[in-house]
Amino acid sequence: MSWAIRVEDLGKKYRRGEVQPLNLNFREALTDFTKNCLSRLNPFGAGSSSADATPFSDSKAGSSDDHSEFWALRNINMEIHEGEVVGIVGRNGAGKSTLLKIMSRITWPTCGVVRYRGKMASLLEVGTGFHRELTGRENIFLNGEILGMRRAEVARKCDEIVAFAEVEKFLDTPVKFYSSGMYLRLAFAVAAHLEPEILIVDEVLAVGDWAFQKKCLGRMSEVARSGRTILFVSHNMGAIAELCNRAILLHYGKQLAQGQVTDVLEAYSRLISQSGCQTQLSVNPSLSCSVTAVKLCDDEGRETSSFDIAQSLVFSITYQVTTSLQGLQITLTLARNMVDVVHSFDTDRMDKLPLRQPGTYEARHTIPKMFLKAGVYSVRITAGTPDRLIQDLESVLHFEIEELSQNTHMKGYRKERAGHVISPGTWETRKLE
Amino acid sequence: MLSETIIAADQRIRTWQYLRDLWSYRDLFWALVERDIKVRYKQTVLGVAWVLIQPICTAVAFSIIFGRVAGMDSQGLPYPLFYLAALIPWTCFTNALSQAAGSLESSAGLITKVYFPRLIAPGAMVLGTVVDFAIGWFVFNVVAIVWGYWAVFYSSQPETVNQVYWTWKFILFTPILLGLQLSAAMGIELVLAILNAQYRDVRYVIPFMIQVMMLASPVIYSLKRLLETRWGEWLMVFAYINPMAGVIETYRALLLGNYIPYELLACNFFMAVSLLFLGIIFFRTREQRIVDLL
Repeated sequence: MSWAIRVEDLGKKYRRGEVQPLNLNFREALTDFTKNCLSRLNPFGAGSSSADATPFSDSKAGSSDDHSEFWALRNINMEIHEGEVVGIVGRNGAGKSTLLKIMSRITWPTCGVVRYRGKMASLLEVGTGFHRELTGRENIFLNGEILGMRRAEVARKCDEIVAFAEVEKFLDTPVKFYSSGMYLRLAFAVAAHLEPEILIVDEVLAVGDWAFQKKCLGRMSEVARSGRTILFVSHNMGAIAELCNRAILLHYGKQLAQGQVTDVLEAYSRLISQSGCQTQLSVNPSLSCSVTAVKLCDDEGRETSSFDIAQSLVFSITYQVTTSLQGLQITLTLARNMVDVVHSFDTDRMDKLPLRQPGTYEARHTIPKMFLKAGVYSVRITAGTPDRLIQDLESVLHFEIEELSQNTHMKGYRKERAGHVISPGTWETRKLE
Repeated sequence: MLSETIIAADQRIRTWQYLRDLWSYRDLFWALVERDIKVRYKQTVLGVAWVLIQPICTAVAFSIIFGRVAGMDSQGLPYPLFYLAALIPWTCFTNALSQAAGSLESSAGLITKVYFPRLIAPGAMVLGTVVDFAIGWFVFNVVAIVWGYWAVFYSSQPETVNQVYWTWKFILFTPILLGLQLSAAMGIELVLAILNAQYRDVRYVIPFMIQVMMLASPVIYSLKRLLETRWGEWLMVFAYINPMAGVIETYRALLLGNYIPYELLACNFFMAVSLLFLGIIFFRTREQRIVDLL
């Protein structure tokens, strides 16, 4: 089998100034330009002659290597065969989108080569170029042509697209009057009818309701079965496992693993569960009680700061008491998006506040699985008695809960929906009549 | 065998590849032109009438102020026609400039998500203004013809009425003048579009630039009048380097039945084509990098 895409030693370097273009204004450019001119005109100007031997731009690039520049991608090598479906996984900022953007010729690499054979279409977004004022039909044509179809091709597939999107009745209505679901359905329908040899898909399946998502996934696997090469980025590990025959793991612009989907997904879950899951604190001798360590584990006892929504969390707080304290309480507060979601005392289940003799204690608190919604949380620990706050440790830890194992699109506790926690209550519905 | 595409750092794209790429995206080009035209007057009460309102109102105001009040010379053309002949191409030119200069910025949503030859975005915007021009031009012709006939047949004192010589030459010359105007607009705005993507300051410079350019072009005055002034011959240099001077003067000369200023036109044509080429070269060398700035 011959290759469809070949990537050799690919790298992309961004200047931070380019990432935040607003910082770069005309005046700075003018001063840069004048400096540049001056340094060229005057090679024996201020400073030693050896420093001036390099042109201004070069010396700038060299000196600012670690501050104003960073590699979004580096040393990427891969070969994708015809008809393969390859999943790309990685955390946010791992370089997945940059890779897809280079492959789809939107941005240019700093070094390296990408070769591909055949026509390529990339779906980095659903509904690119849709215009709100235009009707559904007009948008089908516009969007189709933007995605690289010829006009005749769109005309041929128009009926099919409309049927797939289920918007027959509203075809001549401007899309600004569409519901968001209809809009997305129409947008995906156009994209789903592309027939390139290579298809690049970035996270576009994360739209629409569950039924439509299934339809999209179905369509994707149909496309995959028809022998096309697909490059697929998704956070939905389930979708990757289902669709792909190979996967690539990116981490901070580097290619960490490549190969069997199960292996790569395992490496990915190992990766996201590392780092920053405990805090050691020094003992403050002037305090009667001081927290020395805060640790966070999953239900299997592994230290981690990244959890799946279906994992329980175990906090372990170690503290030292130097003089005996009546009614010492340890408080655990979890905040997500500046909102305190959980506020709990270690004495909540006791009838009477305890007396803590001098010594070292460990307090453990377990938060059951399927209770905290997905998101990034910060942990605050305080120690004190009912009449006195002894220690207040804000943001001692951070952790993240992700919707990895669960497809939450039809669930009430989906990250974007209202509510702060997943209801621990239960539902029962019975038929009355 | 499938065609192979290579994307490499510091890749030099040959001109024929560039042109072939442009050609293969011609459907998208027309789709964008169509979109711009369709969208422009949606949800407006007066719709396409807006194309006429701007130049006509300005022409009326100019006729009153510069004509009646200041008593400026219109070379014997009725004031409204004298100003309309300038304002219809001029409005199209400035609209093309100001809209297309923001073309990369306004189509950032497309450019950061889909590949297409970037030249298509500003190109489509410039071509979109041709429709406006065509409408204005058509109305202008009707006015000129009606005025001409009225002056000859219905006026009680035909010899005192200013003459308007509308001939088929007018239609013959229009494509040439339009091409001249569009290539100048395209050349300037390719540079502006790139600069605007990089430095948003350009947005503030454009209205001012257009104002200054209007004063430098014979919109309000005629070149003949300019020549009669003290520094006239020096000031004519501006007319020779400004493509719009030739366009406006030719339209007026056609209506007056005067000699067409071929010398000026040739000079302007050379300027417009050089602007276009320089613009394209400037654009080509920077279009790859521009996406990282949007």
